Amino acid sequence: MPTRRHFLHGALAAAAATLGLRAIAESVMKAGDRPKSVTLGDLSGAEVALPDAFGGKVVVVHFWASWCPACLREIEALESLFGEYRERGLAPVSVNVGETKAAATEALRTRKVTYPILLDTDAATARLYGVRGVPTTFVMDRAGSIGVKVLGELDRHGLRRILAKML
Amino acid sequence: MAAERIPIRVPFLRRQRALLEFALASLLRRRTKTVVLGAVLTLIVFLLASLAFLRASVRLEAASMLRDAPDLVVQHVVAGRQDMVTEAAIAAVQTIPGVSHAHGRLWGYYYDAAAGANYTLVVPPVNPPAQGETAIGAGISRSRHGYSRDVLAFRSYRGEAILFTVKAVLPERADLIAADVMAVSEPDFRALFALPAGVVTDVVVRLAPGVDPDAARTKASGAFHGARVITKHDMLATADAFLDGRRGLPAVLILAMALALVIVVADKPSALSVEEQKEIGTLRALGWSKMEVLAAKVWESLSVSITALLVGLLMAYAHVYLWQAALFAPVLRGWAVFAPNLQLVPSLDISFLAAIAASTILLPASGTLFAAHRPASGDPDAAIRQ
Repeated sequence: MPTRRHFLHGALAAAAATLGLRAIAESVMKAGDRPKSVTLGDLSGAEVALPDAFGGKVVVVHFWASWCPACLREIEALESLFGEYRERGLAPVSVNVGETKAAATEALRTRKVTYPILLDTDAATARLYGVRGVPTTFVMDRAGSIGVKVLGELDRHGLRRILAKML
Repeated sequence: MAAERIPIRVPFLRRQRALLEFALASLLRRRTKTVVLGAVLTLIVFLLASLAFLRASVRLEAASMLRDAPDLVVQHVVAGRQDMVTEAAIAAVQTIPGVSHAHGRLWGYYYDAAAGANYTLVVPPVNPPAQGETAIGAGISRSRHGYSRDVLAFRSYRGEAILFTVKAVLPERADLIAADVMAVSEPDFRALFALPAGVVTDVVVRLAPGVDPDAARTKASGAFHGARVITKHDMLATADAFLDGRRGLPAVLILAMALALVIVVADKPSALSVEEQKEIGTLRALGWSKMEVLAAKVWESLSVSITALLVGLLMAYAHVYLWQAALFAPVLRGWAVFAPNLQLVPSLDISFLAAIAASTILLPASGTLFAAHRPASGDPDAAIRQ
């Protein structure tokens, strides 16, 4: 039989959950922060722990969407630099935000991408990183801390300038 | 037939206190009706007073914002659109009699498709950022979650990425003028917009004390072909027109609220219930004079309206200055992505507030007098027996 105390506990739990969700919704990642590990699926269905799966490497976490031409140009630039800097420890990852696997696959159909493409279908990871628009790119150092957060479209030269300081 | 009145000399204030006590007891007997009327009046006062506070504070902000504006700004218009100003044109403006100082400014808008927003890029004349660095407005920081050490990537006129590392976020108190501002170095600005050396966006002019701005404007208009001169007065008028435009919706709201007030007042005569009319008849039958009955009814009206006025004003003050006018902020911000936070300084528009107070107190009191006049003047027996 529910008592007034049960009701009170329920209300407190609901309030705490609401505040917790609000905290997640307004999360912001800044340079120097270490994002907690999240597990996302890739286009083949395999699960990848981000950024733990790339420990010891310079990880570029690139948030993108299929409707964003600048994001697709960035994926091409990342693919090009991946070939160039793979041996030096570069690990790019493009995280599709809020779309289906089919939409992401279709957007990349004519592009050759050899580095991991992850799916953040409910945009929870984007919220965790405080992403307010795409493209947004986080470059993490080998210790897993955010070295640089880039808002807007990077080209090969811009990426190279940033990576030169971290690789 | 009214009872014979025994003349008793009661001091005026004591009599008024007794009438007020009676009025309050009468209001308590009709609790629901009193609460509803009071709530409607409070809501009307709250909305009208919120607009009055907001309007006065925003005007104050705009005036302080333009206090340090230059006396004249000279642009170069070619084929109806703004073009760059050359160094020769700046020199020509500098030689105009009465001009104390003239220098070129570099500023421009940059549309960022990723943010769906316009940035205002400026090159500060004093202490500009180093090349590759920027100081951003708090609106940009809030909207894009951009902080110190973050990088903003822009595409230049030639299609290359130009990177700006955030070195500082401008304080929120500068939001009204700098929410969307990015201060950058001159080389970065020229590279981004592919501007050659020797041209600037416009010229700002300081006049010597006592120089007539209109006379200087006439001379500056002829300084070079296509010169367009904007005076400080023009800037103030534009800011005023902008605020008036943004007040379009609030103006509609004011009209609607004023109409609601009129309806409340106009409804009062017909809203005098049978119970109230019987009460007036009983009072008259007990020997109250017509003036005493009307005074008691006016006290009833004043008790409700003054309470509504005070509560409404307090709520409006809290709404505008503690909660940054949360109800009206979307109207003021429009479609701006890098909208400023409204850090409003309290300011009073006395005439507007006096108008609200007058209409909240005097109109209902007049309506009450009008409504109570007939039963108070008629046959008490008829009023009791209806």
